Order: sequence, then structure tokens, then C-alpha cells
Amino acid sequence: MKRILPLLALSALLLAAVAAPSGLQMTGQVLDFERGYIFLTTGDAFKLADRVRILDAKTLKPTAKTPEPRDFARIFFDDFGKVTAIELSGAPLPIEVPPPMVEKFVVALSTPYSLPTPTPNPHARPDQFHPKYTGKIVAVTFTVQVPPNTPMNAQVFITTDASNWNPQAILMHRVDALHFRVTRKLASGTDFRYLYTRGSLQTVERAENGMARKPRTLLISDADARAVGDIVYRWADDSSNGITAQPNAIPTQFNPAPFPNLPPGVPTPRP
Amino acid sequence: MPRRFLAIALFLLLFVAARASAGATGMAIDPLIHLSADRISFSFDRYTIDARGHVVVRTSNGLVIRGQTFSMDLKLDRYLVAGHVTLQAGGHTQHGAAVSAYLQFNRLYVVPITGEPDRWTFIDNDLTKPYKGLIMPGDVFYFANFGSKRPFLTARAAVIRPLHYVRFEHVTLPFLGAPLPLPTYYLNFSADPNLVQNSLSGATYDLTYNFAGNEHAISALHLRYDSINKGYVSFEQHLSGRNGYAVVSLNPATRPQKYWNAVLDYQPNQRLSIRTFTQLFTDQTWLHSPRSAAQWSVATLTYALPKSFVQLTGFQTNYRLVNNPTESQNHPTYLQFTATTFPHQVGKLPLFESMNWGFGFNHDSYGAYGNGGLQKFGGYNYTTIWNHALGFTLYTPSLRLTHHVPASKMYYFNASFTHSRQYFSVPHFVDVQTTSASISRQFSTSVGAYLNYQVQNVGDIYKVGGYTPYTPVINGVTYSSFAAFRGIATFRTLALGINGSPDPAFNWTILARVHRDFPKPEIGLFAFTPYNVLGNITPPAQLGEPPYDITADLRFRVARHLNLEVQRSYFFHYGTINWSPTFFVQFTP
Repeated sequence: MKRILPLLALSALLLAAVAAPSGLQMTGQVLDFERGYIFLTTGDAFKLADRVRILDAKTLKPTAKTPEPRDFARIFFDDFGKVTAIELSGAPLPIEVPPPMVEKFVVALSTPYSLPTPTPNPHARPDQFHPKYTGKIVAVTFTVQVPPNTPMNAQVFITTDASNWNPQAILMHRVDALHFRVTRKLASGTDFRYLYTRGSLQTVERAENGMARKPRTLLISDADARAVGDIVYRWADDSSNGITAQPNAIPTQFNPAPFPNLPPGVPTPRP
Repeated sequence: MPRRFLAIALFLLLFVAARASAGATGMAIDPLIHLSADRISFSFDRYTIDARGHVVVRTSNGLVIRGQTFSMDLKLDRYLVAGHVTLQAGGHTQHGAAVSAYLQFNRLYVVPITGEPDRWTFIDNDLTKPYKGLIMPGDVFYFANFGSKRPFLTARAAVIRPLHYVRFEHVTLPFLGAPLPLPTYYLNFSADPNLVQNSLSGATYDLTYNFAGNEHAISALHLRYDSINKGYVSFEQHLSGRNGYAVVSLNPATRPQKYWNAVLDYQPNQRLSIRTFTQLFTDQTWLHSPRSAAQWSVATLTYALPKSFVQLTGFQTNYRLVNNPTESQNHPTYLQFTATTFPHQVGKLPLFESMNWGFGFNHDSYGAYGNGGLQKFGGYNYTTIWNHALGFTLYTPSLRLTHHVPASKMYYFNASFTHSRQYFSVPHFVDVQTTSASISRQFSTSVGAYLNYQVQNVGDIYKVGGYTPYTPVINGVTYSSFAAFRGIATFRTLALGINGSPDPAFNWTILARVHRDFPKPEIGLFAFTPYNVLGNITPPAQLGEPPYDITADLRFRVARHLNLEVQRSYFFHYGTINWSPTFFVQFTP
């Protein structure tokens, strides 16, 4: 008998817990509160009981505040699935009951419940045009081969639309005479456009045929790491063939001071 | 002559702007969103807009939404309005708890409140046809993550062109700890890099205020500082379209010596592009009549061929645009045609080559030599000098030197060789030859090193005559090392570079170099070339490199949107000069 009593007591407690839906609760972010319903950002609506209590989640005391969009709420249900109490917080509240347990109380039907209305455009289902990414952090290594005439003291950067095309957004490191490299950690699902520069948009890369090139595109998929290899064929500030006499660079006949930076008054050698 | 060039530049500017606008009208872009609310906040970290209180959204395609709060991630093509929402379009009204607009697909996902709440989808803003039960994305009613609680700015109204720009109005911007009221603040986040092309020269500090703009134009004021002009204000106007862009600027606008710049780029098709840059210099008090003025223009026409491309480049300079006798009357002109081949693999060898060829002329009837002309040689003043040139480049890809070892122990080898020769109608030619070889190793994902040896030979070789013996004397000191110089210089550089990036917000580089040049550089004969805005020394080859130097460069993030780069060099065995004259310090966004 002594062994049976604790088991009976435990069974009674479990039965009481299951049979007391008023203790059932869930948390979420408020989307709206009006016309006898509270709406969460899941898109679900829950009907309010006649006398719903609104409490402060921190003090658990009644508050005059009404739920507003962006508030975080802990919602309590009665036996009929109506909301009897709402605790409000400005910060996210821990998930205490998995949402599926309160699905039976949802007023607005959650997707993808089967309503046979045909899709107007079967090729434009939202789950198709919004591919899912987990947002995991992916180490992306960019390696770029630069033209052989790139100065040894040059710096190479990546400019992206995410940086508003700041030409010095991502500094790369020289790997050898022809290559620069950088590794960045990006969330999967990141979709951006980028170009290589030598620090300004006057020194941005150009296409192999000398034309301005369209930005490269990159979509980060779910992976542990990703390597991106690119080739820059020429820079926008390349002289047309690299062999035209440049002022102040080398001793040429067009240079009024063939040695750059000679102090004033120093005679310069002329042919 | 100058007026003609200015007129041509102005015509090209207007032509590009007109073509840009014409091309832009054909683009399919999302509707314009006019947003007003009690308080609009913008997070630079997350590129999100958060608006609260009496939210009204009016779109250019006739939709009006009222609600309590608004949320938009500017990188996504969607926004959310929640709380006592009313939609109006085409004379119909729909009440609901929230509406999420997916602009790219012209869909409105709504939680309506009729008898009972439900979920409806409207397509093309047609509120008369609710599609009930249509599948919605799982996060359709989620508020965008605003990131840190401190907004970058607050405003009362905003105009948003999704995926292109936002223009805030009645703005309060925290600046140096105090609220700074501004009438507008424009922010561009489009995928069009041409809209942010610039024509300003570098500055040590540049604080940009974009006070107006749309998807094809930005008007900006720049508060700048550099060591020559000190603090000053500049103005820049950007225009961009489908086939080209234009940038005009006045820099500095608040100093007597002003540079008026115009960059024009027009690419009517995939094979042809035209790019011009014109700079007008004026020395004037505010906008009074200039005391002196000069102009410089360059235009490049590029035409793409299947395996090569050709370019026609022209320069034109006028040093005296106003009647100031102290200014030079020179007006040199330069025109060059070149053809360049694509890199091409040599057989199956790990070797690539490309070639270039060209011809052109320089002309200046005034010139630097008393009687006019570009160059005096053999008793004759040359006012026009023709040239033709040929050059080629050979280079290897990265060749692996070690096999069957971990990546962190792998060595790579690179080499390149460039040679060019340019003949002139004055009997001489210029040879430029650059040879480079390097070995590199990546020690870890964040640390790598390379060893590079480069030799550059530059020769200005005359068949008859040439450079005469030259022994400079400065402050009573004779520099005999130049006595053997006859126009042929050699620059040899051995460089060891080590770099690390343990964190994206922190990068370091150490570069140690040994220079062996002929003629030997003499201390004090050549001034140090100042750093450019990137911290690089220009020109790339000069007769003034100390024999040994080591440079350290640090770049790290000092604020959410501000990087600081600090660089300095130390010289060994270079007289009494040990440190480079100044630190190179630069703030970048």
C-alpha cells in the first residue's frame, strides 16, 4: 500500500497537469491587439477571454499598458483556448511551451493548411522564391590574381554593394607577386555584388576586353567553408599599353625634370 | 581652343546625363515608398528602418497603408506594417492586424479582421480579390532585426526606393555626442557602383553629407582636410544610368585654388566605351573672375575585339586660359592608338603571354624651350614627336613547389617579365624592362609571407649624343655617383612581406625591403616622395630609395563604421634619417 500511494499521488498530479489547460502558456512577439484578439508575428491570432488580465512580465503585477506591436508576450489560455492573461515584456521571453501544443487554439489558420485555392501563378510559390538558408557562418576565402603590371607596393581591396561601394571596404593581403587573399566570415544566404580595386574607383578592375565590368555576384550557401577564385585582367588606371612615357616616373625626353623630386636649382642632365 | 574643349566636355556631360535618364526609364524598379511616422529610426548596422506611431505608407502605385508600426530590412525587397492596419487601394479598403508587402512579386500578405482573423494574399494591389489559404513565407510577419538599440539617425519622414536608396527628411543625427538636426539625409545602397564613382582627389579626412538624391543621382557636400588645404568644403554631383555615368565636382570649393572636375563614361554597347576626364583649375576668390586658369582633358575610346581590344587616348592641356602673363602658354596635345591582346597560354606550358602595340604623337608649338617645341635636339626644335611602341608580358601562374604536404607548408612560385620599347621621331628609344619572381607560403588562414625580387631597367637610349656626364653639387657636396649615368637606370628590390589578419577588424603587415639602384641614391639629393592617400609611395620607380627599409602597417576598426590605418617606415644606413618623415594616418569608413 505504501508503494501504491506515491504512484497514485504522482498519477493524480500528472492528470491534474494535463487536465488544466488554464496553465498552458506560450510566448511570442505581438503583431497586433484589437477586436478581441491578440496576434503574434507567427501570423497566428488568439481569441481573448472576456476579462483578460494584462501583467508586467518582470513584476507580475497588473499594468495599464495594452499590448503593442513589437512587445514580447507570455500568453495564458483557459480550458477553451481563450487567452486569460498576458504578461508583457520589452525583451524576448524564453519559449516555455512548444507552439504546436497551442495550435488548436489558433484562430487564423497557419500555413500550409490545405485550402484548395489554386495558386494564380504556380511558378511563383513563396517557398520557391524564398529559398531557405540557415544563416550559419561560413568562412569565405577570396583569392584574386592581379595583372602582372600591378605595382609591388599596391594594395588590393574588395568593394561591395553591402559597403555602399566603399573602394577600401575589405583589405586583401598580398600572397605573392600575382595574388592577394582575404578570408571573411559571412552568414549563409548573404547575397552581394563585389569588385576588386586598388583603393579607389579610379583603380577598379576592368574586364579582359578593356570595358567596365559588371559587379561580380556571390550567394553564400550553407557550407563549412568556401573558396572564391577570381582573376583581374586589368585596372581602370592602366595606361593604354603600359609603355607610354609617364611624367615623373622615368627619365624621358618629355619630362622637364627627368629625375623626380630634384631640389630646386639642381641642374638636370639633358641630351 | 579652350572654349571649344569646355564646350565639348559640357556637351558630353549633358549627353551622358540625358542618355542615363533615358535608359533609366526603361528599368523595372519597385514603387516609391513615402513613409511618415512619429519617429523613424535607422540602423546602419543592420540596414533596417523602424517606424512607430501614426505610420502612413503611400506608394507610387496607389497603395496607402496606415498602422502603428513599420519595419523594413533595406536589403530585402519587403516591408511590414502592423497594428490596427488599414489598406486602401483602387477605392477599396481592407482592415487587418498586419500587412507584409513583398515588392518583387507584387504580393501583399495580410492578416485581415473581418468576422474572424484569417490570412489572405493580394496580388498586384488588387484588394477586391483575396487569395485565401495561399502559402506564405514562414517569416512573413517577423519584424526586421534592428541590431543595437541606438539608431544611426531618427527622422519624421522617408522616401524609399527599395534596393536603391532611402532619403530621410527632418533628420536628427547624433554627432559628437549632440543631436545634429539636418533637413535631409540620403543613403544609397543600390547595386550600381557607378552611382558612387567620384572625381575628388584624396584627402586625409573626408566626411560626406549626401543631402539629396534618387536612384540616378546623388548630391553631396564633403567636409575635408588635407595637409595642403587644411579644412575645406567640396561639392560633388553624381549621375548614373544604364549606359553611363557622370560625376562633376568642385574641390575645394572654399579655397581660392579650385579644381572643377568632370568624369564622363558612356558605354552604348558591349564593345564600345568612351570615357573622359576634364579638370579646370582656377585661382579665384569665391566665384569672382579668376586670376589664372588652366584646363586638362583626357578622353579614351575603347573598342573590344574577340581576342584583343584597341584604345584611342587623347590628352589636351591649356596652361593659360585667362590673360595672365605669368602663366605658361604651353598647350600640349597627345594622341595614342594602342592594341592589346588578351592573356594567352603558351602551348601547354605554365606560361601566359600578352602583347601590345601602338603609335601616336605629341605636339606643342610653345613648349619649354625658348623658341617653342617639345625637345631641342641636333639643333632642331621638335614641335611634334611621333612614336611607335611594342611590348609584351610573360608570366607564370602560381606554381606549387612542394607536393604531398599540408597546405600550411606549401610553397608557391611566381614569375613575370615585361618588356617594352618605344621609338620616337627624335632619334632615340626608351626601353622599360621589369622582371619579378616570388616565393610565397601561407602559414595559417590568417598569416602568410612572401619573398619577392624585382629588377627594373629603364633606358633612354640615343643613337647619337645622349645624356652627358652629370655631377650634382648640393650644399657644397659633390655627388660623383651620377658621373657614369648615361640614361640607363636599374632598380633592384628584394622584399619580404609578412601579413596577418587574425580578425576582419584587425590587419597588420610588415614589409622589409633592400634596394640596390643605379645610379646610387644620395642622401638629401632626392626628397622623399610623399605618400598618396593609400599610403603608397608614388611614383613606383624613383632614384631615391634608401638601401634598407622596414614598414609596418596596422589597420583596425575604431568604431562601428570607421577604420584607422597607421603606417610608418624605418630606414637603415641612410645617414641621419631613421624614420620616414611622418606617420601615415588615414580614417576610412
